Amino acid sequence: MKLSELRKGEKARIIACADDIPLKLVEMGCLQGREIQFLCAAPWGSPRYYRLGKDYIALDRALTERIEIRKIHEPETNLATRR
Amino acid sequence: MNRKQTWLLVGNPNTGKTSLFNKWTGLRQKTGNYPGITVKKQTGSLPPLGRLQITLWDLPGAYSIHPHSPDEQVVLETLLGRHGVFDGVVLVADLQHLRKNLLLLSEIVDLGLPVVLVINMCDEAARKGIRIDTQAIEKDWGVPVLTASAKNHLCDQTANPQTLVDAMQRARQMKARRFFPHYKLETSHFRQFLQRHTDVNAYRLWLLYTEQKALRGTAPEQEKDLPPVDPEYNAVKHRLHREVVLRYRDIGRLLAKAYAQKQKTVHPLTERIDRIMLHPVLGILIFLLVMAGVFQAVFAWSATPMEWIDRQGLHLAIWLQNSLPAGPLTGLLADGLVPGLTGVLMFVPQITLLFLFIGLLEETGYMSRIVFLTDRLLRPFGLSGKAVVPLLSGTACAVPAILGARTVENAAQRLITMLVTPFVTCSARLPVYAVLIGLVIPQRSWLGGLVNLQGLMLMGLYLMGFGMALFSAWILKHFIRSGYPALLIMEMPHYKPPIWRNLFHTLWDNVKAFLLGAGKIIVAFSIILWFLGTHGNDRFRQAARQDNPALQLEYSYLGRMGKAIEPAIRPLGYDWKIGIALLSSFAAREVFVSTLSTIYSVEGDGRQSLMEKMRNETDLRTGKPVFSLATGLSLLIFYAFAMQCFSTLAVLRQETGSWKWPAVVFGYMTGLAYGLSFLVYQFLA
Repeated sequence: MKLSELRKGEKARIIACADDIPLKLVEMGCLQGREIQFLCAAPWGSPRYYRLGKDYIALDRALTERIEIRKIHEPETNLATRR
Repeated sequence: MNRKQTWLLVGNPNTGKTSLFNKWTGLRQKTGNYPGITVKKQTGSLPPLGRLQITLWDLPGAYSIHPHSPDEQVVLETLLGRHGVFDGVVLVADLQHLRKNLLLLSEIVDLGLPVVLVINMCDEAARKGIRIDTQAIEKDWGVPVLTASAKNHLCDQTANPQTLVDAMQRARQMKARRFFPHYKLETSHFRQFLQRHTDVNAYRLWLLYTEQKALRGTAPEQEKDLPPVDPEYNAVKHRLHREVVLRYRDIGRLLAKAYAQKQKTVHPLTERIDRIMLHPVLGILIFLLVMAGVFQAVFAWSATPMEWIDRQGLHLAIWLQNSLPAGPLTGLLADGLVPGLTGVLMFVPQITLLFLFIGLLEETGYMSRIVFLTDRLLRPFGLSGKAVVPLLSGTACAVPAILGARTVENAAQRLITMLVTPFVTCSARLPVYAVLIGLVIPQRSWLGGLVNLQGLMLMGLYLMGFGMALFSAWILKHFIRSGYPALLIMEMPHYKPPIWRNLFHTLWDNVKAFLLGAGKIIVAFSIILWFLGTHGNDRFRQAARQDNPALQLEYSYLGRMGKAIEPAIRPLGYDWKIGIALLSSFAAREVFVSTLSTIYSVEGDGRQSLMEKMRNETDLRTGKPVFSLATGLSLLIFYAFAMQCFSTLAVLRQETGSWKWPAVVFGYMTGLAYGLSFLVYQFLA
């Protein structure tokens, strides 16, 4: 799924970034395998606020469509499904 | 013999680089501009140690050597030696974000430059459970490593400048590691380029090659041999991404050895504060409150000190007049120079208060939240979210507001912000609006006095000012481009208490720059204007003997200029008396009122009697009142849009480094005002 599809509070791991994302985003630590969490969006839907590893970062919504992720399920929900 | 060295201070934004710079250099600082661009150039010197004199050069913050903004481009150009010779680089990194900070270090190391790594905010290490092995970094990468803190903390190894200087000299001896040759990123095209220049550092060539678009036009003779536009450009782009990934791999390997964090903070304070600050309702409310605070400070709190300065200036002028023999020199001192100086000093309270607030917003980290909340709204107009503060403080006065635009990092956005700020309705326009609205807009109100026509007109003028500022920004956006992509990628720094030393430095810097830069021009202008208003031909002297101020003004040089422009302002519905008032408004717009008082020989300064005289004033040619609705509205439009303030022009000159932009602003604003006033008058008359 895409980063833009992540819901508020959800965590994910980055799988791949489109080749045309700005180099700056890679330099800011948007790398394969990094954990990313969607914290909130500005009242007008863009930009969006993420925790990327230990850093906080604001991204234009258009950029989040170009980042491929895999959702991380919280341990609690894992336990719940096991029961 | 004294030895001199120049070292560059680089680092990511938000690493506290400037705090350390302030701590190390104290007040031994100088501010300038890079030629032709509005990027600030800050240098300072370390306390002299023995025979070694070291100058530090604080560069703008940068995440990487590959530029993504005009500020970062300056960093690249400087590192490539395009802005002067230097001996080495001090890189400031923040302990908590070491991984990201080391990216820039690995790039600079590849350039073969002597580098000292200073790890800042070491005082946070214990609290965050971070352990760092500086020896391991030093051994592995071959660069001297120091820990530092802008607060006075035991871990600050740079507290003694000697330690820093020793590390610098050590860096010149050590052989740092190279990364780039192992990455095998060369395209075949680049390899040919490399073979032609075996004597040049390979990474330097890689930068010249990959950043040729950014660096165009800055190359010295020996580097003119850049490859032509690359057929493999897409491959290069892919390789630049790969370069970053590989660098992060090497950084990860180093940090696995040298960096350990015990506990992981699950819900850091920043995240919790932001839940409130960025809340769709609460966040906007807090933002509006903060803006109201800034507005209140610049508008109201500055009033008392400004009045005080004004009074002192007046006292001094009167004292000079009484104690010196009457003559042209006394006139120059008491009526020209002293009011000019007072006029400059009057701005200081506003500038101080505005920069105190901007400093607080920047230092605490809230400024990034302002950008987050407003970016989407201002971006279509080519402005950054940071333009909100200067634009809003423009309602008090454009002079501090234009200085306040320094907070906008992107040079293109900063320039646009400065150029459109004068449209915002400043407090000097208010007395003019009050008189004119009172004169031509009927007193009519609806809903039991809740809505009032005169009030609506005033609100309309404010909205027109903001609207025209945004519209002009939108137009300028098409001409002033930075060439860098516009999608927002912004680090959100952690909230932290302000470091007062930094606030003090920002204040001192800006007030000093204003007094020495724009101040000179303002004093010169006001002396010229004083001369024009108080000198004239024989008829002027005759009027002076009769002690008739109205005739005196009419026959002064300024009065004759007002008459000379009458044909030009006739189509707007103005006569020569208004012409004189328009010209004298250049000192400050509110002078319009006092000039008209003088022309109409109003005794005292009662606004009521002035308005009566203005109402009774009839045009000799047509026999109709001069201040008709058409003329009044046309004048209101003219005052809303025209550039009539030489203090603003002076400060624009100071901030952009040439008379080009002030001239553009003057031409554009006055042309626009003329055109619109013409339309209004011709339509209504």
